Amino acid sequence: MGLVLIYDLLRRFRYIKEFYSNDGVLPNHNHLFNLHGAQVWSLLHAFSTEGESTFAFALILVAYTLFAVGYQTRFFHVVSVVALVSLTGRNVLLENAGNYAAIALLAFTAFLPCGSRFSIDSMRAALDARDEKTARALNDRPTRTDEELDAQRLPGWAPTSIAAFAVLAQIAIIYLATALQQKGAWRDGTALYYGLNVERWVSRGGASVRNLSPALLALWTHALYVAEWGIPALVLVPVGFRYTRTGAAVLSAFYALTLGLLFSFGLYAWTLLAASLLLLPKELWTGIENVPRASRLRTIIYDADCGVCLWLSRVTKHADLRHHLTFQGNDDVAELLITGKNGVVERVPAPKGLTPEVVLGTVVVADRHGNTFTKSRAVSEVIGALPLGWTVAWIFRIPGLSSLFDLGYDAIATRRQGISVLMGKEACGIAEHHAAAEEPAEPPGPGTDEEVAPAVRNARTGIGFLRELGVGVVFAAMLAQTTAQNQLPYKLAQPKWLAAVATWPRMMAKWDVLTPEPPKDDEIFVIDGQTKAGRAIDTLTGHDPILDPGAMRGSGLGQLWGDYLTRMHEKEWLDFQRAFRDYLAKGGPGWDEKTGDDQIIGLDAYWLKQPIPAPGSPRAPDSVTREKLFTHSRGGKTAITPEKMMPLIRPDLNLKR
Amino acid sequence: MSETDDVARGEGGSEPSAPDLKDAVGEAPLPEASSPEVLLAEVPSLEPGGSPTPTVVKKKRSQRLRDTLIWIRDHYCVMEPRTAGIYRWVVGFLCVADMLRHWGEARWFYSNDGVLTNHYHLWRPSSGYNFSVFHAFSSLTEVHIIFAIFVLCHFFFMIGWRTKLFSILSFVAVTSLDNRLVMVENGGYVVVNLVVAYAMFLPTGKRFSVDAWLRSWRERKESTVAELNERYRPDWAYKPYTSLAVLLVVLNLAVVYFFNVVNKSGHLWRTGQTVHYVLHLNRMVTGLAVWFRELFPYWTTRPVTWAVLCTEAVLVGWILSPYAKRITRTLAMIGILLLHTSFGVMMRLGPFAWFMIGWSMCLIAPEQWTIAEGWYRRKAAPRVVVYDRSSPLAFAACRVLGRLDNLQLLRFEESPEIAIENAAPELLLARDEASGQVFTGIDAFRQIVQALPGGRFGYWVVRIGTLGLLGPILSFASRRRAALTRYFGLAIPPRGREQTPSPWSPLRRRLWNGGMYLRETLLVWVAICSVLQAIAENKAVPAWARPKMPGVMSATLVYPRMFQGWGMFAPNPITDDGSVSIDAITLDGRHVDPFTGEVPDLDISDSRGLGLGQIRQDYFNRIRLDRNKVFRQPLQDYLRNWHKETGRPQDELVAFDVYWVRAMCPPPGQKHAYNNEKIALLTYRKSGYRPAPGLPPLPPEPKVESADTVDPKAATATPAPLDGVPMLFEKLVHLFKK
Repeated sequence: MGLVLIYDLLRRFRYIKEFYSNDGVLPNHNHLFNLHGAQVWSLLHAFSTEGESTFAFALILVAYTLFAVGYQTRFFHVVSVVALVSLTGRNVLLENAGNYAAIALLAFTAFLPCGSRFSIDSMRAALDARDEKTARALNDRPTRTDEELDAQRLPGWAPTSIAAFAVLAQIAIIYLATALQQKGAWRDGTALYYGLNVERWVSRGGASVRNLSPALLALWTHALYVAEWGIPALVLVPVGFRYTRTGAAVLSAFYALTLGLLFSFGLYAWTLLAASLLLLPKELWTGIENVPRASRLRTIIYDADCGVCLWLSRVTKHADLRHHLTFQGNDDVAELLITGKNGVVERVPAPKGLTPEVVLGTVVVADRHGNTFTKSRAVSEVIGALPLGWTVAWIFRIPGLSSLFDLGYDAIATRRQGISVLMGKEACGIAEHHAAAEEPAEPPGPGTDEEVAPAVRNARTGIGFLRELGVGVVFAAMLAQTTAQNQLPYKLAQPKWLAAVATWPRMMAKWDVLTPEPPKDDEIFVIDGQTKAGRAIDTLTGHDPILDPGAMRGSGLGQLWGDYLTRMHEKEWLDFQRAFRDYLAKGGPGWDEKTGDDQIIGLDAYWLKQPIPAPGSPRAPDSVTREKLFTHSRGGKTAITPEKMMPLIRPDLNLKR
Repeated sequence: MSETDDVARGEGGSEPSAPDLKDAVGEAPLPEASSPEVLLAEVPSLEPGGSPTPTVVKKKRSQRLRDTLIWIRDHYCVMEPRTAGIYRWVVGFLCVADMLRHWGEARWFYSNDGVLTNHYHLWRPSSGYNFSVFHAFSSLTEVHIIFAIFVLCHFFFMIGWRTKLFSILSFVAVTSLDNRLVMVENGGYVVVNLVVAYAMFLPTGKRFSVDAWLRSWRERKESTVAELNERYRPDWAYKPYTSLAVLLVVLNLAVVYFFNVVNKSGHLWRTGQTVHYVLHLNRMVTGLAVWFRELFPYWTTRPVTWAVLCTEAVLVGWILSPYAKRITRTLAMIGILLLHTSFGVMMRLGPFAWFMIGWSMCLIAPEQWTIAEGWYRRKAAPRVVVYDRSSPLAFAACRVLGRLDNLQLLRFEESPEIAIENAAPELLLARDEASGQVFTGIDAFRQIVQALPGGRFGYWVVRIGTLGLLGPILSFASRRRAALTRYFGLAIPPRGREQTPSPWSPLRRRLWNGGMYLRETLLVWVAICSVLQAIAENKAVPAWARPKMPGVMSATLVYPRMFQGWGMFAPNPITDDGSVSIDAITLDGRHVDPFTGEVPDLDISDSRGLGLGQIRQDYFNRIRLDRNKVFRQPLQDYLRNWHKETGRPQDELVAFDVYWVRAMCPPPGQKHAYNNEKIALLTYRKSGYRPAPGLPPLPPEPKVESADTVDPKAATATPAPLDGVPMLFEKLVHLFKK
């Protein structure tokens, strides 16, 4: 989820001026004024200039990054929730179901122990809990029971919580509510075809597949539709988690990847992809964790006299989820240590390449076939043995690059004693192994449950109760909000205070992606501007105005501009149009020329509409109609060119997707 | 040995030498600081014939510069963690109080139900570089939430929990508060911003804080009576702290008084009339000031005026004096306390007076600690605390007492073994070692607490805090000691390992030093900006000497509103009094002033204090100014929606005229204001309104005029010729300015 948030922020970074500063389409004062006291809150309203907003974005990036890597996880998790709510609330014309889903899932998971694993916090805790000094200690990996783990958890960190249920239920509800509202094209299999022909939504990837055969797209549509129904069903099945939850996760990933790659729905698809991981059952993790694959088993021979080498070995050990790695000091290479089938370390004859001379100069990694690897290749082997390490490990093996990495390795290896001293590690004292140091240190935290004082236990209970109460209220608010916002057969009572719980953090629960079916018309927003020199220009794109939606081929402006411009032409958002006009008068995202012949002296804003033909049929270029939204100063260039004039219509402004 | 014996001292004793101070920056050592002797040894000998070579001259110069810097560092850049701790408590408390004071005005001034909505202020910011977190909070509910959050931030800063984080958040809070409503800003707000800004750079969490308390519990786990009697004195809590921030916080305090003196060059100050006029500013004065002005004749106010000016003048010297700090700093603190207490109780100046007293806490040098320690030691009596040797609860209580006993007046003893079964000794008892008198129960508690620093006052705080139930509580704890021990999981020795800080790695030390250099560089930058700002902003500096601040420098100081213009009632105090009154007509024909809810008072010449708080009186005083005309629109919107606030439809205002009601303060020797006049600032008549039958028609709209206009009589008034004492005083001021 942290990576999704970072992606989302980086995506918004390039639009800071347009959407988040007072030089853009919606200055903070205009937004606050037009909200008329609506329950919208954003800390970013306090930031006015582009510089201030950039500063705020940088802070958010830091918070997201620290959340993603799991440093002070709970704190930065909450900060991330606040940041995402602020990003959403700063410009409500940009929000969509992706924001609602991301905020909801982020809020619910804030009550869960997200920092307990795969985080800097957990790594630090593991390193503090046991200070391994020898290869024997490194190879000793005691497993702890659930009870022991529970006893060590601090208040508010137990994974057994209403929050866990709320997360599962939220994921199921998103799919179920979407499926319940879909009809028409979803049933006859044309939904994906029509969706891919909507220029505002389709990504470049989507544009490239929209000409696939109608039968294939129909099959794909049905698969998506089945996934929407199947995921909640599988999530709610209370047995056979290994299969049901895994199946739900796979379906969810399929659904999310489809939408993510083919459409520009912002956070929506990637949030669902991240949420898929929440569906993975414990049984699956158990099947992965502590279960090595024979082909990846490796032995690391590290410099036993080098403090930083030992420290790196300790870090690697705790990252080695599947126990692929066996550790061996370079002070004893007569034989090779390997981890046997039952996890017991055994000694086998050393491979040929493993000589005392070699291990003095470099880390050596040996596999089960007697192959030895040194320098950067050894690093590559170690990384490859770690979870998802293969995504990075190959880089070290690229010819040419590997030589550079070898040089870098040598530079570090020859200075390793100095680096050890610099980091406060022992440089040559590792040989003085003492038995006491190998004993596991006292684990942090209060210890076993018997040792927890009643006062502490009562405090934990109190905090836990408050946590569960908080989750319960938020979950109830989400349920009520979901039934209020979607066309569902059931409506729950939604008192004002409960609505406020969902509305303030923009958990609007409007699950309307591609519902009830994709539109049969392709609609785009076009600026027809003219420069002082008389050139026609679309200030949104910086090119000539394109008056044929079918000719755009997925070169839309992305989700943010897409949602913004769609709302700009809807009647309920007319109050916000003035700021947009002021912005356009100064240029646009694609046109920032304010002087000389290139300055804009007039423009017209149009909403173009073209029927999407039935699958297999070509578009009719002359079927484009236009709705003039507003004119600034002298108007546009194209509008005064008779041969390019199109019929002007004024359809119902409350168009739905 | 007293606590201050092994810490840095000022002049006249054991001021730490340069090498002593090398470890004094925070927790890590400074780069090797050469002592003057070492430096002298490095200087090459002179050329034969006695004339120094250019290299030698250069080295001598650089050595002199280095000596000077070392001297400045030793005399001005060192602060005791205790001083920083006290500074934090006082400033934190004042911040909490000030935030609560503003919270009281949340609806009027900080929410969109009030006189300046956030979107309006963002649209028409009061100044450039304006940033406030409050702008993100619109409705009254939201504003209450942010006030609650900021009060908590200040509170946590005050008690020293996660001190660094909350000192930064406190800074954000105070600057946001100021930026949200710049119209009511006065010198006091700037002082608040500065005082809290400096706190971020001082070691405020090292002593008297929750952080320090928790750290000492983690690092030291006493398990025997001997360990209880051996006080824990870790380096991080006792090492003096060296930073440019210490110099700046002291120097800036002196600068405040310096410019306050030199800017007060008007004849009203010289002739001693200022206090008289100030006491007749009804919008500012408190009831005490009204009593004072009515009771005391005019001539008594003249020496008070000069005393104020003289005090401010001598404060500069006392604050900056590098020698005899025992006297000068003590005098400075007493002077500041007296001066600003009198300001604070007489005038409604907002945070100014109280935060200046808070600021003066940074002046506490080791000498003052010694004085305070000696004074308290004379008052307090040493006691022996005898605790139940078998009770972990009693042992834990002794661990607490040991941490509070900074004067080491307590000594701990185990209770003797008791052979009788089921007989338990007192949980804690106190014994006077000199007389052998033994105290038990609540008496023991009193004796023990009174031996602690501040315990004489703390005892009564505890008595009141426990609602007089201290005796029963102690009795309960004694009876149920075993159960309480189990409940809290206490044990002898305490559980867990002592987490003694491991020595820093060279890498960590380098990183820390890098951070320290960054911090000091930032302070240098702030100092440069502040010096230029002081030159640019103060009236006493000739116009030609005032620099134009570059944008980045302005941004550095204007965002946090850390200005340096000091001149309260300078060069002369204002001589006209005034306030805003609104003559509004409701739907049912009543005349009402929405700000008071009563009939409008359009004559203030008979006023005996308007009873306005600082925020309101400053808002009224500023909204009248032409430069703030733009902010009258949201005031009008507020008044038009006033009936929504009262909840009564008949309160809807169909017409209103906002007046600046002004009167001249009485001349010296007289008691009554004169020349009352009202100037319309804003008028409104509801369009299409027809009076109900029986109600008079709406009055015609008055002409809106400028309330900025200088009273022609005051403008043309010729200063009275000086003679006698005033003349002498003017000469003194002249000399001082020279």
